[in-house]
Amino acid sequence: MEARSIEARVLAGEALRDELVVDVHCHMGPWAAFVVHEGGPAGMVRTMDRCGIDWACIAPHAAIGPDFGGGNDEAARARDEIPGRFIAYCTLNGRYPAEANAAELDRCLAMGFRGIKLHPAVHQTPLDGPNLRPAFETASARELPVLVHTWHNDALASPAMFEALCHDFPGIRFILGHTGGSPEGADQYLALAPKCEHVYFDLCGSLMNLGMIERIVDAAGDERVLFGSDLPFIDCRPMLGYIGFSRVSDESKRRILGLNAARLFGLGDR
Amino acid sequence: MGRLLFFDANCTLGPRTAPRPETMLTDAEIAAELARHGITHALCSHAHAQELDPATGNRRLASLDTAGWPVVVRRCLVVMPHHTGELPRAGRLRDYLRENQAAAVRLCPRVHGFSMGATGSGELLATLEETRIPTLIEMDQTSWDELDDVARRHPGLRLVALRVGYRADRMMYPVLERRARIFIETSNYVGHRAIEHFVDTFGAGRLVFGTAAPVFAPGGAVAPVLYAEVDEAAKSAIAGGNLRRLIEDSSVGEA
Repeated sequence: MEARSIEARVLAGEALRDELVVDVHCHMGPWAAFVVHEGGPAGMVRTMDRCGIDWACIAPHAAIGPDFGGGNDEAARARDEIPGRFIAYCTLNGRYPAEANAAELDRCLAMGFRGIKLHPAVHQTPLDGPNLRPAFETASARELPVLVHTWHNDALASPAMFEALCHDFPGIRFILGHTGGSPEGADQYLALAPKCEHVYFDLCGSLMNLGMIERIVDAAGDERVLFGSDLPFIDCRPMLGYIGFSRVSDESKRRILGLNAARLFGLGDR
Repeated sequence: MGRLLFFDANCTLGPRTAPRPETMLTDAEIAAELARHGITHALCSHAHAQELDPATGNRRLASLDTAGWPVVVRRCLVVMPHHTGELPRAGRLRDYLRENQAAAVRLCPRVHGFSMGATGSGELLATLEETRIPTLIEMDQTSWDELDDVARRHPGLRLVALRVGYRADRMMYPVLERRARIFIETSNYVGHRAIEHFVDTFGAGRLVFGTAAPVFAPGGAVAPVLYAEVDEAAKSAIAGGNLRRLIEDSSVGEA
């Protein structure tokens, strides 16, 4: 019997349990600007199970906001309390001294964290500022994934900054969170695809225009595009639908949904 | 589980002012794209009614030949107050809606530069209230305080808020607690477990599925309903039953 397509399975509302699905852009917990329903680890896993998402790569909202150390502890607790479902990013904050960021990264790596999360727009500090460079040295040496929020005309994490950082720190696997956040933002960041070998493009965002996944895959290749949803800042189910119904092959969908992230984060099948 | 029959409350046909190339589909291609996502019916406005002139766009919508399309198109006319003579008033507005087979209407007060206040829109809203026709308004054209005030002045008006965002609950919940005839279109209502919490709080009868196609990809709109952890009756109501009920309750088609 011929296997059913991913599109047909999403149309039927089926959890993709036999596919490896890794959501590379997740948070956790409450956020100031709006209510996050069931934003804790149990609520997230409930939604992940409904969809068939195996792993969520998390940077709790507290870490993005005013408490990066406490938020990183929260990530470690969630990972340990519900084994096999969460991969922890070490969130750093370029507003704080270089020594503090380097020490926090060392602490997180000792706890088994697998990547770094940066949010220059929230922290109001440039990605290429001096307070993050020692951490970038470590990340490059260890070939860590570094997820960075990007947006259209984002002067704090611009394409030019990524191009320079890719040159200075060639081991870093930069994940461009939201791929610029809009079609116009994607136009700006996709220009990096031929210039920076180790840059990856995260689909995460609430506003996915018709045809954008196809455009991102065309520009970057299906081995550099990643499933991200912002869970639980945003629900993960819309992005599952965007990918499931996109006009790319099932092989490409499998790479986007999980195989590329598995390579990036060193995961095997669960 | 039977297959859900999706009825899209928020589709726009016709050429737009500044479309991205990826979204520049013909009307027939839009219909095919909706059908690919399991959508059987669509409530459509014409882009020219929103971006140029309501009368012109409504006429173009009414003249579309949709026979043979894989989606049944129902018409959503764009309306505005009568004072400047661009659209008819009161009884003649009812005739206009009936003659053009309007299943719903859409208001664009900020784009079209009119007030939703009693002086500017009181007569229009009273007519729409009297006809019970679903009255759509996108959230970038209004505010929760304004919708609260409109619904207070016109408690029988069936208001459908389009593109309600994932950050809306703190503003929206108190308004919905007081105003029973405000309905929420789901295309951008993508907060974590937002549908489940909404159904727990207000029931499934006030969520109306929509896509905002062709600008936005319909996959992101259908999946939250397909994967919602609510019972099958609630899913069916959200996917299309609620919108069908709202349209059937309108008196516009009555002579």
